Amino acid sequence: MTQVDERSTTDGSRVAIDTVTSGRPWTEPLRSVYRAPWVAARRWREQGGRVVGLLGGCAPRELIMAAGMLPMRLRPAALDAEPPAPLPDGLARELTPSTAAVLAALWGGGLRWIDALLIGRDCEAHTKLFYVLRELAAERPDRLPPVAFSDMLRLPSRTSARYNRRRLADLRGVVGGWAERSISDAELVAAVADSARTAAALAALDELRIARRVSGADALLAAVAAQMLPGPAVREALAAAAGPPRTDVVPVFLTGSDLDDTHAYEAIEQAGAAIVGEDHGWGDDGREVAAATSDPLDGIVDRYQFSARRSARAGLERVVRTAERVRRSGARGVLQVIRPDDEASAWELPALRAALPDLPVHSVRLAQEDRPALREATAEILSTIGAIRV
Amino acid sequence: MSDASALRRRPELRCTAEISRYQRAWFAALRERVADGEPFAVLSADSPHEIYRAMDIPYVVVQWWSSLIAAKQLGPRYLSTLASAGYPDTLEQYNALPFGELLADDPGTAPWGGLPRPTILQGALSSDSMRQLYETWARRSGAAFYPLERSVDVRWKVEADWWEQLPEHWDEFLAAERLDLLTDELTGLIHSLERATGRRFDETSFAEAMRLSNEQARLNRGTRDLVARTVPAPVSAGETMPAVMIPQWHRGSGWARDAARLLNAEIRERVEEGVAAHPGERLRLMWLGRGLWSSLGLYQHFQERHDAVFVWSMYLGLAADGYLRSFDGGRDPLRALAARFVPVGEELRMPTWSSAWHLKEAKLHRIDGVVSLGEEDFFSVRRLEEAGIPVLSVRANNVDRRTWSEAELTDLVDRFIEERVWPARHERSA
Repeated sequence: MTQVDERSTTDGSRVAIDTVTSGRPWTEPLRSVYRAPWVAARRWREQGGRVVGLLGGCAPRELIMAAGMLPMRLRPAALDAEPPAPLPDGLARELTPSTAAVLAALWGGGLRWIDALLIGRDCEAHTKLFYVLRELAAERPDRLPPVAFSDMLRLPSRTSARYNRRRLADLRGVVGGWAERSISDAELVAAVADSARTAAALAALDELRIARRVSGADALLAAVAAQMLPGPAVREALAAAAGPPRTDVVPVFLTGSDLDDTHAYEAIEQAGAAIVGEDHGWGDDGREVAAATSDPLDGIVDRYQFSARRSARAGLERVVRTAERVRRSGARGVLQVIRPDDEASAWELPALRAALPDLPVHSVRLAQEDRPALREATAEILSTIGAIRV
Repeated sequence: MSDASALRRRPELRCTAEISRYQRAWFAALRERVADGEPFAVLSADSPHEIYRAMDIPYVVVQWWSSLIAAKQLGPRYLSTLASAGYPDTLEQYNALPFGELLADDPGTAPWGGLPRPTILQGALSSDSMRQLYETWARRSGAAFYPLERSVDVRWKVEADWWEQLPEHWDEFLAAERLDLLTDELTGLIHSLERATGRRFDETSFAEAMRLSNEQARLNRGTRDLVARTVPAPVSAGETMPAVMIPQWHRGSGWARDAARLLNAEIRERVEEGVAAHPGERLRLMWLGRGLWSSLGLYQHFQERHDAVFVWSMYLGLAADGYLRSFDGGRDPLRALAARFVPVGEELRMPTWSSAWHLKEAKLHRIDGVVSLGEEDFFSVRRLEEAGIPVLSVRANNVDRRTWSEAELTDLVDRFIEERVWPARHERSA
């Protein structure tokens, strides 16, 4: 563990130098946690705090905050300073690359910087991971931290709403158990309010992005880091965000699979596009936040039940909301990026094209993290946009 | 990878032909009812068919129709149609094939004159893309879509012996909030169907459908036990698959119960008379995963070549263990129906349950080797192999002939039997 921390610290310092030389010092703390979240987790824990790893954007972070713990959404590409030991071949095939990475880190001891794991039902791969962990824990309970699953349903029906409330109430008890205390309504209200302040800061950043004063890559960096750092630290960084407007780029909206890789964004933007908005599971334009409700659990449930982010288990109504966001962002084209483990996004393509008949909508399927394919797709869409302009 | 030929099933039972004849006649009558303006529902396999049965709403099960498409070798064509329309052709093929048929709009070449255009679609949201697929299908067909949620068993500790507990103790074995959710959804579904079709839901008819479906499940349990304990096996899996599944899609009807009884009686007769699927049986095999409906003869292919008989598939196994839900003692039959579908899928694919069940069934059937197709099967493989039963895992999709061929599969299974099953058998015997 000590060895890991030393490497982590070294890695974090190198990140800081990179960002200073990039000329955007406001991104420095965001990039540090993006690249080496275990460093921030260690600091938090050294101060007596506890860290709960969140898998997915549907895991209700407000509960963790209300319990006084730090929710840190896990990036499968940044789980440990050391690469994890490979899983047995058959077990890796049971899972997606992302969930296999999480399991490998957990099973190999690389995720010891979290005190508990809360898995959200972003997709059925997460459900499968929960089942696999449960099965493995029955054999070796000492190798895993406490694990819970958040089963937030997405149909816009009263039956789902009532079920979600029961689940969230149960989860409140589980998280309270992790914190060794109960969670009060006042603490939930405070957590919701803090999340709202961070969301407002992200919404302000989104305006800068639409004005092309902040790149899509930096906006994604902020959105990812906001799911890892305490709210005040995120807001302090975002308060300094700004840059000169760029006029030499074409505004494009990104949809499809969850992307947490800023390099993928950079590949697209280096090809001449500016990603002025996205609706996948990592991006955050500040518009999805729990409302302040008399029973704070109501607002939290609504936030997750009616989220338009991520296509998995969503209906086609999501396409309508995507189209609205595309219009609002001023994008002149839409790029749909589909990763191999995404079974849902491809079904949206014809409906999305029908909803945006005047804009080019290009879809690219990635065999893996494939930046040349992203650049090529970007070139294609920019070419189409250019043809429309002519 | 694909091959046009298909190994045809050699008939083993009289009742299978009778059941298949009924199915053709039933479907022809259904087409006439729909042509006369009756509502028509297309339901996923994990939908509550019993409600439609009780309301006398004609329906077809997606998976049966897809298996028919596959059997007629039309899968690649309909998948290609999906792709041409901009939809994915490598996802949810089992559910998407009839949608591909709709888009192809060529009833002249479709199976049995084609699937009528549905007025109702129903699917449980069992995967990431089911909602988009069914909503898209509904838009393109003009049908109303009635989705059902699929909740998750979030308990950190679950008992594995679901097949023992669920039939009688489902209300204690399953989490109450999951049962509440689906019971409430089914209540809403009934109201929606009453409004949409003008037909009244009759509690007496529904309770009768539930009783008949329970009776059918008990008969299937008896049939499964006969097959399991009889060596050589009286019937092969290639034969029981259609003989079990066609009545399964008529679950809750008197005909389905009677068909299950017929199957049971004929197999019992064969056991008593010593008639076997392959009298020279020396190895017993298990087929994990969805069936090769377009190539049922493949299951019998290894009988002559290796004296190896596929005696188990999930179809009879699940028909025996997965459907029975008693509602005696004043228990609500609608809640019992919810208990039938809350855990569906978990029985087959939740590691704690599926691996324990696969091992239990393998031992019960005295299985020598397992072929697993298209399954996420790590835990099942591990438990079976630990028990000395070798497993061949094949990555393919059962209804997508682009992903497998008979020649390749037979070659794989041939080598598996020679290189792993026989040595394991000798080791156990030593």
